[in-house]
Amino acid sequence: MRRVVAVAALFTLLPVGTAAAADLDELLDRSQEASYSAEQVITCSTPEGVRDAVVSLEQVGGELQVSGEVEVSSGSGGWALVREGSVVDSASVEAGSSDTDPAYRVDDGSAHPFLNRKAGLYRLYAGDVLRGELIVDGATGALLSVITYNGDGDVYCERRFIEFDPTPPEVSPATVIASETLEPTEDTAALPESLGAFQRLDVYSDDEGLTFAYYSDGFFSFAVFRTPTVVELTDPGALTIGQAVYARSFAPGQVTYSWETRHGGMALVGDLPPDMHTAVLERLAKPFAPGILQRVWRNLFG
Amino acid sequence: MSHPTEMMSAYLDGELTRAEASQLYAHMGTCGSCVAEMEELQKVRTAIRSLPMVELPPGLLGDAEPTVIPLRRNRGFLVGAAAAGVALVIAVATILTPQPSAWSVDDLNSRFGARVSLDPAFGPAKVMVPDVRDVQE
Repeated sequence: MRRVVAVAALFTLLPVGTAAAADLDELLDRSQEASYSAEQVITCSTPEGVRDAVVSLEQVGGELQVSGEVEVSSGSGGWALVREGSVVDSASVEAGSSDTDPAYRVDDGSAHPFLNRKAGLYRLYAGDVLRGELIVDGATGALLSVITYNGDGDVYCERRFIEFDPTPPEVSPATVIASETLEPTEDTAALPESLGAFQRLDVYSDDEGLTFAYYSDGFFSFAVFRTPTVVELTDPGALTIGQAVYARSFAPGQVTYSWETRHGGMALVGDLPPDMHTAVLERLAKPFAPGILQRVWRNLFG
Repeated sequence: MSHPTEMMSAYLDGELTRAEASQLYAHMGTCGSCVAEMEELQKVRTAIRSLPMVELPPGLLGDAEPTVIPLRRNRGFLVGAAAAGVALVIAVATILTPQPSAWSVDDLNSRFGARVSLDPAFGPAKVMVPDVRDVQE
């Protein structure tokens, strides 16, 4: 309800020239309210090769259940990973800010039948650069296809439904139960207010020394983590920016970076296209390789 | 002096003192039969040492009690020094090796996933499939 009020306020207060940004919000809002079951193919062309997956989706009541090699339930600030019927990991956060300055304009849309359904195609532009294409189901508002682009016009990720059933799922996604709900904190050290076009929306921390900030430009988003020790990635690749080397790993729809700093570890997890990575990473604490004495001191005393 | 046969065996075993060995040399300098006997004893010892070792039949020493032979002091010192060296290497390696992180990729994914579910774009556009290699049991 709060979101509907916010969208209505935008239509009322913003000048005509920015009304298109409100359209993106409206499209996304309607998509979240849709209930359906679907099969989705995710194909991402990354600097380290293709990452793809086929998953089953069930969305109802703003919650989403994803079933593939692993099962993920998420919604309303909760997330749980289930394997063979057991919750492997879970987390819950309290709602923080969601207001971002619109970074994209959406064209007027055009008819674009998809899966034998009436649908509309909408293109997202950052300035004159095409960044996304959304195919929206006419009847339900569900996002049937989402294509995101690198700055050079190449496709980064394509998420396409190959089956779609608008019947609301009989079984709601499992309620996400986490042992602790993280609340927004004011500790923003090393987590800048903005990173290029991305704005920091909120910051969370837990009792074990992990702090993370959530950034968004209105469509793409990522989290930057601060940890006392560096997080090891499985079989990582690397991105080198000048003298700085970052370990990174791509999964379907997701990139993860991890590096060591003077004060511990940092990591980034998000869905931003590869051409945006450098501009973001350059604005964060630089990678640092401690010497022997520093490593001994850190290992002994933390 | 009668023929010192016992002293000859002890001499060949290296068990005579210098004075006893001098006494034996003095006798052999005047006794040809003792010289011949000494040579025979040496031949026998050499022949015995050249015989191959054989395994004892099982059970022959079944009731024998094992004998603990204490290490000499210098050998104990070397063993102790080696153990201390190994312990030092392990300690240094432990200190220099980065400590395993208390946080995994799962922890990052779960927190990011939880926050993303509050994002206006949450839904099919934000579906992320964790790398199963990162999913811990």
